[in-house]
Amino acid sequence: MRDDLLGRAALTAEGLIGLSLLVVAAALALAAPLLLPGDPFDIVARPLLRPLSDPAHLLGTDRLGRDILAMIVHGARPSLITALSVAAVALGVGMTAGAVAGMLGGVADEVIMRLADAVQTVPSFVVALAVLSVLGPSLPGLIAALAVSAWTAPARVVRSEVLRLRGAPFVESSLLLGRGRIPVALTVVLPNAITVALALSAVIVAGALLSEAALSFLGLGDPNRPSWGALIAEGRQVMRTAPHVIIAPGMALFLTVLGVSLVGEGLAKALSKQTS
Amino acid sequence: MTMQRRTLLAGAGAVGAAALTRKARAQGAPMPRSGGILTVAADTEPRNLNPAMVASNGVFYVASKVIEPLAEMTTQGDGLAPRLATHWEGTPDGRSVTFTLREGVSWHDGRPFSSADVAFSAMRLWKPLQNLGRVVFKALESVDTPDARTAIFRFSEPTPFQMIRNAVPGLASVVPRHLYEVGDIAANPANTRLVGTGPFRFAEHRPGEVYRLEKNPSYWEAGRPYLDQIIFRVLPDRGAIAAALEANQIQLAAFSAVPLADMERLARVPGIAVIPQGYDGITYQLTVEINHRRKELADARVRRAIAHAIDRRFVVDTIFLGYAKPSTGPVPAFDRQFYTADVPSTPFDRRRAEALLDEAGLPRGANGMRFSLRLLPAPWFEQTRQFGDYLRQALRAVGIDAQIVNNDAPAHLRAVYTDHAFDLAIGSPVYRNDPAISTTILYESGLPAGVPFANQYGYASVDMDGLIRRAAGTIDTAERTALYQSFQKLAGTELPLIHVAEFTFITVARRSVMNVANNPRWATSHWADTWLSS
Repeated sequence: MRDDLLGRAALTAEGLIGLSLLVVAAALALAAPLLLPGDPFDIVARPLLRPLSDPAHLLGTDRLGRDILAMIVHGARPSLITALSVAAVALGVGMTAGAVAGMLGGVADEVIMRLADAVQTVPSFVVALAVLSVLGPSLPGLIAALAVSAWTAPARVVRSEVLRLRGAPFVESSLLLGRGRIPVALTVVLPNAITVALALSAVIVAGALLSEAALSFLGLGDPNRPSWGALIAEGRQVMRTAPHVIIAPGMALFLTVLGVSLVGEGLAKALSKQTS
Repeated sequence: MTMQRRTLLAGAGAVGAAALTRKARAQGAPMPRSGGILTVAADTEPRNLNPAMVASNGVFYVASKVIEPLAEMTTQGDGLAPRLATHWEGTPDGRSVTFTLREGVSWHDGRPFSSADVAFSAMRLWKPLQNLGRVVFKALESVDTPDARTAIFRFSEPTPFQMIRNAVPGLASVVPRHLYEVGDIAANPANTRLVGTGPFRFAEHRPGEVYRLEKNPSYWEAGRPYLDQIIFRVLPDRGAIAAALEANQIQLAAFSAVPLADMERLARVPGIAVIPQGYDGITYQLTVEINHRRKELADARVRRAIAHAIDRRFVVDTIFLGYAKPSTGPVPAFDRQFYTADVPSTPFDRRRAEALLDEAGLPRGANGMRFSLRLLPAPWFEQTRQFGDYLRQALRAVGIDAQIVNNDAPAHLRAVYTDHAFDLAIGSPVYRNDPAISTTILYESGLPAGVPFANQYGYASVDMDGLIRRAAGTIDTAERTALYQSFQKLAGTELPLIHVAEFTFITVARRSVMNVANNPRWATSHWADTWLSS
């Protein structure tokens, strides 16, 4: 049933375009060392070379003469890894918390959901800034910083699904067989609530991509790896004289986020067809 | 291309300056016009704006129009132009310096200015509180005031008159005794609402928006200042500054507030001049700071290898777009008193660098790297950060794996100057006209942790300490100069720090602003003769 949903999502126009954008991004990220071997930070040409003026450096060079294409392609990997890891952590933690809260109810529900309320009252970007300034700029730190506030949405969605399914006959029968409430929540109820959470994942991935870029833009990323946000920050300095330095990574970010959003849209459409 | 661009830019600047002079002559050599409001860009709002306590260019930029020093730097004559003092003379034994003060000067609140204000500023602010004054006025014992127009500085140890003269423009800002003699000086409200004798009175500061200065109608120099007001608009975003200049919302941006990469384009905008002059007296030096506690870096061969790995020409041409010079050592070439080019040099030579590293017993490992280290670029300038990116690549090329660690300004200061949690750092110390003011402190050992912009590098050399001590106690100008030339040589031999490039700043101004950059500290001087053509 789930595979069917994904299949149908991919067949919508949005899903198809989105998926192809993501495939390209993922392929570039994976093949970066093969496509453009060497250190992407190497100074290879004259500074601020215009795009398309030199076939060896298709997107031109930055203020130091580093290849912008190489930095974008190599920068795709940390961006995507961060976004997917944040989504994975957020979905994992959020869905578990939601399922447990919905299934157990009572004090456990109160504790988990009030914690979610508390996290949601603080703007997620501010939380990420605070976490990063304590942990220092690093990839695991970045993932933790963004996941801290991203788990609440899947938790809420899954909890309401679980509340709906709690009285269903197949859940009742599992409980009657003598299995604990938590194992039942995770193995029986959760798989049936997962489709709703999956549609949310696109929003989380897109948000994480943008937040990662924003944090790197502010200098809170890892300066020893290329990143789109850091490239955009550098490009801003020369925006009026050499706009390509900011446009190229900006487009990469835009297209990737667009891809994720379109896939999410496709999923949502397929989901609404399924439920109607 | 880089070369051409540089020539073009230099040309544009020269044309700009020439046009200013021509225009002035055409109008009757010179016929300044009174009136008008000059709006300029400011990028920082120092918490303490009192230049007698905080000798820094961020403070001077605003405060120098309100509070005056005893004398100002000039390119003419003996290098000093009178301000609050009209004459200065040192005794040959280095035990006293006599300043003759200007007549008919009054504070902005109407009280008369006198030698008591100078004595108070020197003994209570410059010597005990000021970042740089603590060094220069260390031996100042008392200031005698036989009359209201005479201040005699008395030193407990021989203090070179040459150093005092060189220090006066930056370190000797005079504040009113009657406002400071009661209460805690550091908490005095006049530190943010300045009261001085200068051509402009402090009118208001709206945090995050503007500083507004108004013409002082009773300024001691008749007919000055020309401007009715100076407004410093706080614009932290560089892009916004360039746009505001093009739209004529501001008429001037000093201290390279506009990104260097935009200069070429701005120079072609009608009505805008790019002016690289007017900062010689405050030369900055892009410097690699080295933690000698790290055993690899304690080896002079490794430090020399790092110096050979740096292509200074590239740094000057690409990072500074030609607006800088390669450095040879701790004294910049601009300095006519002390500079010597006769020092051990480390030209760009990767093969030599690799040979030195091999010799030091640091062969390339399995991953192609010899050792790895932490590199902390100071966050204050676009160029310190860019040079960090460059140095990382330059070091990788000779097999040193440098990992960049970015910090904000307070964290960077703490990491480098208090915690010593760095291997290499990139700094930009300012050369202030005399090696004894802010340069030898980068080399002398025995300073407590936490003193910023000083030797926190774990470098201790008996030869170096001895030389610095000898020079500090030498009164004779020729002998003193010779000692500081030996200092530059020793700095080149032991190479505790690597000086990469010396740079000043660029002013971008509307051509309607006249008398720009007419002294070596122009942006931090009084602007009494600045005027606006219609």
